[in-house]
Amino acid sequence: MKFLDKNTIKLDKELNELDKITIGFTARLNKAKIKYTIISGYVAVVFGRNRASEDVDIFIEKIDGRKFSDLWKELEKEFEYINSEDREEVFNDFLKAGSAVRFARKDRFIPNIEVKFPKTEIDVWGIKNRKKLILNNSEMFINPLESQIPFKLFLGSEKDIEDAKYLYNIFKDNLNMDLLEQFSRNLNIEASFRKYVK
Amino acid sequence: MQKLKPDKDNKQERMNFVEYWAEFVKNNPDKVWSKQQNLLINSQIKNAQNFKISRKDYLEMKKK
Amino acid sequence: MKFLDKNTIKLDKELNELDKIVLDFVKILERHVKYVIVSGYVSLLFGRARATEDIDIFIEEISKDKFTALSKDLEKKYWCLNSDDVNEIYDYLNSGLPIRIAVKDQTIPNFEIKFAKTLLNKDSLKDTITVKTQLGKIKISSLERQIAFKKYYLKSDKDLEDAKHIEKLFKEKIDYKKIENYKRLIENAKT
Repeated sequence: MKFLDKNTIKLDKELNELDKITIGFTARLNKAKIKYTIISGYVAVVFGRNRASEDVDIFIEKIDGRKFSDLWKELEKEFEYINSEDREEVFNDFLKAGSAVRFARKDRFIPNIEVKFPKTEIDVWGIKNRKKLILNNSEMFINPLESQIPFKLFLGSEKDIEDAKYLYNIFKDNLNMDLLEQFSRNLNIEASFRKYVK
Repeated sequence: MQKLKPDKDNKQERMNFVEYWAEFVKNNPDKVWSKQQNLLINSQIKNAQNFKISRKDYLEMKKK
Repeated sequence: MKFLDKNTIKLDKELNELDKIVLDFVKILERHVKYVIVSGYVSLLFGRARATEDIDIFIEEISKDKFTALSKDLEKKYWCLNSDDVNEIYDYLNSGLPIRIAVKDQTIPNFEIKFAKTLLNKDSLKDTITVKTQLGKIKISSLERQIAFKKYYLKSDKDLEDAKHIEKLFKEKIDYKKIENYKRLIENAKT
């Protein structure tokens, strides 16, 4: 893997089922011109973290019902909701109300993509400052690692701490350390960082 | 590549392994490490797809 | 899947890549030493919908000579992630440390191996079930032991789910008194 510039990473790997569904889904988001960022476990897994996951979490920018309708027209070529068949219910009762909605390829619901609107300032910041990942010629956007790593330590489970340690070990030469430290301070995980990651 | 440091404490041993595997990923072409990782990912997904559970029950399970 | 007798299960599932790797490995292992697979892989073998990058195995404490013979047999196809020196590897095991063995030049999946040193661990080598598959046999620890250790010793979310999976799958076949006994042993070992 290599950094093409400070905001773009390139990977040329053997794709697994999780990569394939993510490539397919993000291509549709890109086509619908909706800003998003991939968060959570997949960010570690795509870079080789040796654990498995059956879903991919994505924040999409807050859009209105009409734009969601356009997005859906694009998605339904390949995907379907697993929560409901009623598009308006999904938008108004779930997404707008702060819940996540899951999309999967037709006829199977694993693996699936969990989509949410951002809730906090950090979520919004993540979409704004997302990094580009070129995965075997496909473009997708992931959350900045400088916020991913501290947030995983903040979550604090064994799995999340290992994710944080893994990402730090892979990317330590390419991280904005000031930014990483700022997030660590804000989330109050400096002690965890020293204990588990560094 | 440095050898994996064993440890009696399971948590520490796992952390040692996280570092060890990260080094392997950094020092090998993407196609090499991803081939090994895919065994894990694809078998997880296959296991999950073979598991007889309805969409409704799956979504309930994910909520917890 | 069905119990052929109280210590043998016949498993007819479609074996995945991980199962085949495990079967290849234990075929060599059992030529040299008594072993038992414990922990996460056992529930995966029985269809649990998650993955593992390592397979935990207890082996009986054997002499350095016997271990060297096992090593020679393994080294045609496998390597140890911790050291290339068989003496050092043996010292690790003898000191109670785990070692990890994988297919040569690979890292995952790998087998985390320990000598069964404590009474509780030595007992796991006697309380086993043989799982017969289309491509060979695998020795796992008893269901009751699996459940007890996952519920009362390991206790992570993942382990509790593994225990639930095994309990649901085998409910009429499980000896709950045996689980209680293991629970007491685990609690005594902790104090």
